[in-house]
Amino acid sequence: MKVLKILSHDEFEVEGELAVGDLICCSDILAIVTSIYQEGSEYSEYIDRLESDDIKKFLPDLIEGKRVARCMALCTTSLDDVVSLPEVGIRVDRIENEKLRELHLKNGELKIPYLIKLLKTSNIDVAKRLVLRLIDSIPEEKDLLEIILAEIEYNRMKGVEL
Amino acid sequence: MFETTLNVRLRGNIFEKIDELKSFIDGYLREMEKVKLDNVNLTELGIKRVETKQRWYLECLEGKKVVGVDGSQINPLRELGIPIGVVQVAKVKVWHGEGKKDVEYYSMPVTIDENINLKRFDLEMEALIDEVGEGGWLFFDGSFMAPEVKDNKNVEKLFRLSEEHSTPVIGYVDKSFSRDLSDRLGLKTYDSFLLRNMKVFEYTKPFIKNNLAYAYIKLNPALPARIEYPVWMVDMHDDVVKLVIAECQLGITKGYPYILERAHKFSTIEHGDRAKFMRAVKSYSVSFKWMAKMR
Repeated sequence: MKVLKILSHDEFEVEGELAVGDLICCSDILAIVTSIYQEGSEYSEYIDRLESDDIKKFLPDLIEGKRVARCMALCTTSLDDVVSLPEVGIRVDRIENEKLRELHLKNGELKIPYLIKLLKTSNIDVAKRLVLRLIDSIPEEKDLLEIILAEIEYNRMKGVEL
Repeated sequence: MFETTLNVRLRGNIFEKIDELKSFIDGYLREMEKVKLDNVNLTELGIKRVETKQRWYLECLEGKKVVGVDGSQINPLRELGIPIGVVQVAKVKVWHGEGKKDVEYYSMPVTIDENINLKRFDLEMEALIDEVGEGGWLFFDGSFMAPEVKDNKNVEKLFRLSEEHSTPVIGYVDKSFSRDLSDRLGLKTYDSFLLRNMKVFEYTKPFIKNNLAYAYIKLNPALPARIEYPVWMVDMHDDVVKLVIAECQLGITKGYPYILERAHKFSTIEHGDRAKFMRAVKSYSVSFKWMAKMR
């Protein structure tokens, strides 16, 4: 996986098999996948009459298109603010639970300095996925993280007119 | 009223005369459509129909290698004082059902003194000739017997090699204005107009003209398409037609063979490519007439 395009001071695109909510690391930047789209696929014009397996077998010259993940830079690996973005073409890795735990626990204390920014600028589901992932990685902080999760849900409910 | 040249002159701007032009065109087409086939002629066409069922076209294509060839061109850059254009030909190979593909390109510069359309045709023929020993079903977008390519040496070579290697070659003409069949039947119209009432998936028997066979296939409610192939393939006619229709069923419009649709896409020189080419060769002597038009 590699960085495809820089979109703004804290957003960039990555080519690769990623899902919304996945946490990634490139250079010393921690980022989260906020959306996914398919770029330049020729399948769409043929998919109404053929299954995608048949397209691969019978129309192999069609371009499947790149799967592009739009990512938001959250912080550096030392939990500082991001002041520069990765370069185009730089390698991107998925963050494993162990690394995630190591990044967010400083002297045994849980730190999520980017949470407010994430909630303000991104979709609630993305933030929820991040917190669920943290619960998985740092189970001893489950109670605190569940409070954050409840707060996120409350914010979602506040926006719904019943 | 069937005339190949129209001796009509209208005094005035085209758009001022648009109603007159339209009524002239309507009248011309009406005359063409007036010509009808009688029962004797209908029998002579040997019309048959391809029977279809669900997914029949995938079954028909399974395991077949098809190759499509098409070209495009950049005409000489007269406005930049460059008397040279370029031709690009794409050859797309697809092994249906096996998920295998290959794309090859051919390109050549053409001077302003040469006929660029003819050069493009020759390069397309060369791409097919290179492939003929490799087997498969070869498709070409166009006619092998258009007036400008009459007695073309490359076509003769392609047909000879096609027979030697038993590799079928098919020319596909989406909108044909040939009159071979009409002339044969003593009728004054275009073949596709004469056959416009054929039903979808119906096709005529092959007709022979010199070393070439031609036939018409109705693929959709529009006018029938024309196919052409070397005369040695006549006994394979039903299989040829079935394959052409199956290939069309894969295409976006279902009225044009998929492999040619792709060859066209790969060969096309986009507007951006043309600009890139112009930047690369740079101007030799800019035309002031062109600059005046650009203002």
